[in-house]
Amino acid sequence: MNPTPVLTIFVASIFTNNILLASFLGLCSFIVVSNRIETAIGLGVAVTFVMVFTTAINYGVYYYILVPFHLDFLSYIVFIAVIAAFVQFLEMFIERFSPTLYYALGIFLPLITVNCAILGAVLFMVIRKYNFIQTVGFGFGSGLGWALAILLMAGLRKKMGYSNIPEALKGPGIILIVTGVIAMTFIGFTGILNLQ
Amino acid sequence: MSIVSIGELVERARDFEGRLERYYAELRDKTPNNGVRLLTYYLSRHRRHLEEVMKGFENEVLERIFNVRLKYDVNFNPEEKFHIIKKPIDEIKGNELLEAACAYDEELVDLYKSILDQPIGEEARAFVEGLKRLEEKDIVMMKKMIAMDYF
Amino acid sequence: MITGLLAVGVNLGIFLALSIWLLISERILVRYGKCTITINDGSLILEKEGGITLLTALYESKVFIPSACGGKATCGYCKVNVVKGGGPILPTEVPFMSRGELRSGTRLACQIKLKEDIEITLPEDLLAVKEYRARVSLVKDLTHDIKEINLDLIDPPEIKHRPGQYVQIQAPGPEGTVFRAYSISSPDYIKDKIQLIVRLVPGGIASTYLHNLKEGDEVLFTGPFGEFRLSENPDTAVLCIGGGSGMAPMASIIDSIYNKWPDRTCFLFFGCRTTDDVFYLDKFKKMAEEHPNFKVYYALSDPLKEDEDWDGETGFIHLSVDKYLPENLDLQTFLCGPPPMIEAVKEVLKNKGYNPDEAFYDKF
Repeated sequence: MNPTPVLTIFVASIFTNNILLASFLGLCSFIVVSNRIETAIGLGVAVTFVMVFTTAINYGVYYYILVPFHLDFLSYIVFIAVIAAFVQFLEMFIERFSPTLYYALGIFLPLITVNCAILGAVLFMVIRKYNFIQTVGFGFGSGLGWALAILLMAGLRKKMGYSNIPEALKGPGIILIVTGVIAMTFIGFTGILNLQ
Repeated sequence: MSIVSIGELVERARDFEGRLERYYAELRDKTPNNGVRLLTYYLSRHRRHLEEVMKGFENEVLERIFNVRLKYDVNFNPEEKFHIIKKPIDEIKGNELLEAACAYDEELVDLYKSILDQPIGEEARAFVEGLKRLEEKDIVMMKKMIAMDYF
Repeated sequence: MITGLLAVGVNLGIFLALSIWLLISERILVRYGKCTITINDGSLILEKEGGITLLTALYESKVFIPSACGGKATCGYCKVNVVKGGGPILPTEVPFMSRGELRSGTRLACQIKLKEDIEITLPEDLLAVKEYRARVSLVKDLTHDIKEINLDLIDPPEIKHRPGQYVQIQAPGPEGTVFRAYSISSPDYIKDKIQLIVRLVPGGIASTYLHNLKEGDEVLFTGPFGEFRLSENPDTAVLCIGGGSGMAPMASIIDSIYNKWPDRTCFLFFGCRTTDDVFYLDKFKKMAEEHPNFKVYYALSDPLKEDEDWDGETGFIHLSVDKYLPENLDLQTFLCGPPPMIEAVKEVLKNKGYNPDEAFYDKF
C-alpha cells in the first residue's frame, strides 16, 4: 500500500503532478477544445466526472475481479471497456439533463473515451498501489488538474487572439509552446510536495 | 484579384456595390425601357445587405471579424460576372439586368462558401453565414422575378 | 489452458455486465415516457412518446406547420412559440431568430427534442391545415405558358379556405418531393374543389409537374396557408393589384366578394407585358357589366405590335393605379407581384393619401 495521505495526493495531482502539465496526457482534446472558455469548462467538468468514476469503478474491477483470478494482464482491455461504457452512459446522462452542454461538447464527449489522461489516471492508480480512498482522491484531483490546465489555456487563447503570432506557429504550434511554459511554471510547485 | 482578410473583402464588395449603384442611377436616367427603370430602384438596395448583417454585430466584434485573415486567398471578380455593365445602356432589357444581378449574387455566395471552408473562427463564421443566407434569399427572389417575365 | 478459459470467461462477464448496464440506463435515461404537447392554451392537446422532435410529433399528429428542410435547422420555417418546457435555445437555432424572437421564446420545432411536457402557441390557422388528396378534373390553357388547373378533392372531401390563401403542392423532384406554394383561385363558397393558376417556369420542378398533369391524375397538397382576411364590412372598397402572374388570389377574392355583396366596390388592376399574356379579361368584363361597382383595368407594359388592337391601358400597372384610383375611400388593398412592382404601387398609394403599410401583399 502507498503510505501517502489522501489530501497530499489530491493537492499534488492538481498542482505538482498535474496529469496534463507534468505527464502531458490528454493533449489532443486539450488543444482542440481550449478555444472557448465555456466549452473548456464543460469538457473540464466532464473529464473530472469521468475520471473520478472510472478510477473508482476500475479499482473495483481490478482488485476484486482481475487480481483474484490472476488476470491482471487483461487490465488494459478491461479498463478501456469500462471507460468507453461509462462515457456512453455520461453522454446519455448529459443529453437528458443539460442539452446545452450536450450540444456545446458536441463530438468531444465521445472523444473522452480515447482521452489518454483517463486511462493514464487508471494506470497510475494501479502502479502507485493506491487504496480506494486514495484512488478517488487521485481521480478527483487529476480531473480538477486537467480542468484547471484547459481553463488556463482557454483564457490565454482568448488573449492570444489579439497578438501577432508568426505564421508558422499559428494554431497547435503556439499552443504547445505555451503549454510548455505553463508546465515549467507548475514545476515551481514541486518544492511544496511531490508524488512518487 | 485575391483577398487576404475579411475586412478587405467587405471593403471590395462595398466598392463594387457603390459602383453598381452609380450605374443603376445612370441607367435610370438614360434607359428608354420602363421595366429596367423600375428594376433599378429595387436593385440599388443591394448595398444595404452588408449593413443589415453588420447591424447584428457590435462594433468591437466587427472590428475583430474584419481583422480575421484568410488562410487561403480567394478570388473576387465581380466585374466579370456583371458583364452587361459594358453593354450600351439603351439595349439593356429587364431580364438581362436581373440575370446579371443574379450572377453577381451567385459569385458572392461562392465566395462566402469558399471562406466558410476555411478556419476563420466562430464570430467571423456567423457573419459570413449571415451574408451568404441573405444573398441566397435574394437569388431565389430574383429567379422568381425572372420567371414571372414582367419587366 | 485454464487461465485462458478463465480470461475469456471473465472478459465476457465484464463486457456483458457493461452492456446490460448501458441498456438499463438507456431505458431509464433515453426513454422519456409520454409527453403532452399543449397547443394554444389547450385548444389541442397531443400525447406523444418522448425522444422525437417536436416537428415530427406535430406532423405525426397531422399538425402541418411550414417546414422546407426536413428538420436540419437550415430553412428556419418551423418557428413555434414555446410557453413552457423544451429546454434552453440551442446554438443551431440562434441564427434564425431576431432579438425580439429570442426574448419571446420562439424556437425551431425541429430542434426541440420531446423530453417533458411542453406548451406552445401556433397561429390558429395552422391548426386547420390538412393534407388533401385530389384528382385533376380539368386543365385549361389560359395563355401560351399559363394553365388553369381544377382539382376535385377526394380525401378530405371539403376544404374551408378564405379568399387569398394558398396551398402547398407536393411535386416529385429529382431529389425527392418538393413543396411549392400556389394560391387558390377558386372562391371560398366552392368547397369540394380548388382551382390553381400555374405559369410554366422553365426548369421549375413544380410548375413543370403541374403543367404535365392530365385529367384523372392524383395530386397531394397541404393547406390552406396565408394570413389575408378579407374585410367583412360591405362599405369597405377592395383594391386588387397584380402583375406578372399574381392573378390567382385576386380571382378568388373578387369571385367571393360578388357572390356575397353584389354591390360592393372593388378595383382590379392587372399588369402584363403583351396581349399574349392577357387572360380572364372577358370574364371580368362580363362581371363588371353585372356589378357596376366593379372596375377592371388591364395594362400592357410592352409596346403594342403593329397589327394589334388594344383598348386597355398601357405602361406599368402603377401608372394605371395612379390614373384611375379615387382618393378618400375606405380601402382594403391586396397586392400580388414582384417586389419592384409592389414598391412602385405603394408609392402611388402613399401619394393618394393611403397608408401603404396597411396593404397586404404576398410574401414573395
